[in-house]
Amino acid sequence: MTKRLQSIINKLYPLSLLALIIAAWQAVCSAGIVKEFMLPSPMKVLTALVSEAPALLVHSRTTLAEAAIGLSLSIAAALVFSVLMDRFVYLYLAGYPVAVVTQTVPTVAIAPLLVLWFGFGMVPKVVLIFVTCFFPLLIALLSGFKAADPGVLRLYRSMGAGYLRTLWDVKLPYALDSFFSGLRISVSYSVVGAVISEWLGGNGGLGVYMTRVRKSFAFDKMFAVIIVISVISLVLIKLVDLLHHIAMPWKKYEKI
Amino acid sequence: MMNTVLEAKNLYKSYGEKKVIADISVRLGRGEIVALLGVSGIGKTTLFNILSGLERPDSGSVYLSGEDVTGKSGLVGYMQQSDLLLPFKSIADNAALPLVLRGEKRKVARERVISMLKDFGLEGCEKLYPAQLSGGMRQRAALLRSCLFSSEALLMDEPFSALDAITRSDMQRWFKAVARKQGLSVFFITHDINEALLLSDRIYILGGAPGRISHELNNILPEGEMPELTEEFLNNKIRITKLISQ
Repeated sequence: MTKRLQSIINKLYPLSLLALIIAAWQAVCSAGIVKEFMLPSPMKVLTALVSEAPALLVHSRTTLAEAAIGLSLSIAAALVFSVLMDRFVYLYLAGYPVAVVTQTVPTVAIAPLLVLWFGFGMVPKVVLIFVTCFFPLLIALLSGFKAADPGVLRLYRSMGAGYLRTLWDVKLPYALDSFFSGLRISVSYSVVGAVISEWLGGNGGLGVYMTRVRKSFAFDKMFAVIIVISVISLVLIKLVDLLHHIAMPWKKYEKI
Repeated sequence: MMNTVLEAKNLYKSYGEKKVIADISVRLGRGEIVALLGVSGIGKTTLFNILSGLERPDSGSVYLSGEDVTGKSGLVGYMQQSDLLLPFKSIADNAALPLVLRGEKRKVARERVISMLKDFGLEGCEKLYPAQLSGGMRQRAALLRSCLFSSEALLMDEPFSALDAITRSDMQRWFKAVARKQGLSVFFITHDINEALLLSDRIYILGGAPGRISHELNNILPEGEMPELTEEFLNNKIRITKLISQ
């Protein structure tokens, strides 16, 4: 009980700081220190959020669909490649540095190229999300496989188990922890990746909406969409944490 | 002459320049419990890795029930120092592992395990995760798994060394009873003279560098409740201590 109370109190600290910042922001705007068109007040942002809710909902759906497809493809590809790289050491030696290099390419820089190659539809967005999400997942899985207890691996060998059996029974479960931390990162990357790729054009999505309101200098709507993106990312991360918890029911018995 | 289950003849093994074991020949009779006693780093685990088929000897052979099984893994049960239970599997699934790997149906395997849990002091634990069990119980679950793996011969590498002293002596007593009841043939490594004297019918002493069998002793445990407190036991202990430090 006291533990629960403590965790509630711990959550109050950041919330009060946030409230303080918003109050200060409102004060600055109300006092007219900053011009209204430069920085809309929190109240105006909230009003925009409410009035624009239907549009934001429609655009969120597009963005989420792109993120979901991109992320699913990344997970599938990361699973396949991590297993191959774990099984065949030469593939690991050849593939790992290449995977690192793909991460050094700034997404903002390749987004226009992707539009050039794949047009304004869904494809360039999904490709961009794939490029950003694949690597963290691959690394997470590979290091997860390496975390498997060598004693258990030897035991499986001594019992005559083959690679696939060992992979399914031992390596994948041991990799779950690491996989979920990778997924936590990737899931927020996927939303941001979708928004960035939408900046360059498309038929819908939060990024497209963002560009529109920026061009019409509607900064209150701009802030509203930023809030929506943050909330979506937060909810998705929490969802991953929940899945993590559900996927590993034995964890709650393990002492740290 | 007792029926031989596991036998090794003239095993040699080196890692690079370093000779680890030289000319080791050992045998394990059916239903017999044999200890391999020696100080740390003398090649006990290497010998067991060879006996279990995880490693190949440079020369020499391993026979299981008269058949040459040198370098073939998956035939002899091998239990390590830590319990090596999979944290994400229930006790029943952990113990049923060797049966499932052999191709038995999961449900059938699980039922067989559950019927054996009582003998191993794990009644009602089938659905629990290893983290919910004490160290001694986990070790017993690991032992059950090893027994299900091979009824032929069981190798154990310091099986009770990770347990605290009280649990260890309970486990030793319990283990001997179970091994006799199940008719297990057990070959175990230890660096604890007491453990060797309490559990085994016969003791091999490994000495020297590279490791070789320096002595072989028949061990008869004195009768009574507390055999480890008898004069005979202590005399044996002194004798072995001298042999090891030679």
